[in-house]
Amino acid sequence: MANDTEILHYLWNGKLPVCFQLDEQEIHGIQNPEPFYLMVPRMSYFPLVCDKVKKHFVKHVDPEKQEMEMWLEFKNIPLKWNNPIGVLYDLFTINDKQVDLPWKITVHFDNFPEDQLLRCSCRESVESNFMSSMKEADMLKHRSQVFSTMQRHQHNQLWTGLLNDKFDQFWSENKKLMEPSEGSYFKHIPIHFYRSGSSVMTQTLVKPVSDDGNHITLGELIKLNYPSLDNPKIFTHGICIPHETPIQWMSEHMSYLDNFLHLVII
Amino acid sequence: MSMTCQQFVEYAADLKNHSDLIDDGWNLCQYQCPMNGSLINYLVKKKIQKKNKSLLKSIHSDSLMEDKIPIVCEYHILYNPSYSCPDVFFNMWYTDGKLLSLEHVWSLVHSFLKQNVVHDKWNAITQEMHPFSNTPFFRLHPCKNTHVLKMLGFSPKNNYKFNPLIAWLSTISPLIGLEMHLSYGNKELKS
Repeated sequence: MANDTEILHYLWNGKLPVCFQLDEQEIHGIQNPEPFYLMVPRMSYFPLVCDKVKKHFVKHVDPEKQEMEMWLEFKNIPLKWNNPIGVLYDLFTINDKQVDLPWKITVHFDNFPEDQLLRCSCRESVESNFMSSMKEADMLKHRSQVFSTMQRHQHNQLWTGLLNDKFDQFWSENKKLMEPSEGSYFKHIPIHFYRSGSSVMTQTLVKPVSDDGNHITLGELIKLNYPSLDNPKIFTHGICIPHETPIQWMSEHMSYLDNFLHLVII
Repeated sequence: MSMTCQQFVEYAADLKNHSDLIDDGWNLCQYQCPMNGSLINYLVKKKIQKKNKSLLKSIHSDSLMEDKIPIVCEYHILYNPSYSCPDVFFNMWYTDGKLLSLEHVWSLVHSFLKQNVVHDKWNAITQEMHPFSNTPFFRLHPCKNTHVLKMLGFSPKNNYKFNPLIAWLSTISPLIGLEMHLSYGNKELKS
């Protein structure tokens, strides 16, 4: 189980300053809307923190388009709301150079790119996406034996803990999902891999321990999965992770709230 | 209940063979994993199917007289390594290229299953990213697939006269609007 609670708190509190601006083409009327500034939790999801952003900009777009679904874009790339905010930001890190802060994001209402983004008509779509990730992570870690035996109100604790930014509420249930069931390891480690500069996610079955019983480190894992890369840097939560870190420890302490590690390979 | 990847590939090839015999349009495709370059097999079928217009409450039809409109459907059957089971992703478009909404996909579920789906729709069919294309697809939640395999009495050690992938697909097909030819039910598994 995750013992280093200091790290859990530190990552939970990670925030990014964002400057939202309405796309110039979509400004309706003569008055240009002011940009909207917000500190957003890295661990959260854009649809959960953008109610105020929508309220601020919606009156500046064509009345016929005000009912349309708001979506976000950076450098002409639509931002996939189903990924945690911190992951979306880290994906734009190229050659150690992180995107300047505040992160300048463009807001759109028109021309929703339905071939690239999931629709997000209501909170339930975010909840369903998040819970289904948690379920899959538990399938990988414990053959689904923890999540499926939890009660509905326990599942709700996880979701409302995220929604209301309540660390204790979330972790009172999440700690059960972070306990290794056999010995000191999970069966598999839930990881989403990304290459920086691309939003393509790949996933593979990852074991935390080698056949001869030694824990597997991040460096060994990357060498195995990306044999052609020469000493790549691995980022998560905006932090470059030392290669000797055991991936079991990372899974327990550095997973996003959906219980997956989201690793950006640079 | 879990199906191995190798079993999936065998069953998929068998399904494809029968599809070829009756010209049903299933194709075996390969996806190259960007990490280690390994090739992953999956089944794809594209078909235009007529769907009941009243369920779609749509303006996407020129002819007001017809009660059915053509819908472009694409089905992908993948192997899901996390759940060790088959996984179905699908999309449906109007003929003008516009994607159906999730609400419309729910309304197209066959009437005898609709009650169950409506009751728990956010845990049944939702939109998710396709693991290969990283684009939005509708998806039947994978825990439903493991549930169906369990109900069918599937065990990786058993020998089957029938193809478990076909048994699974025909069980879930009314949920995803997929029409399946009855001859799939008559065939024995060749191996």
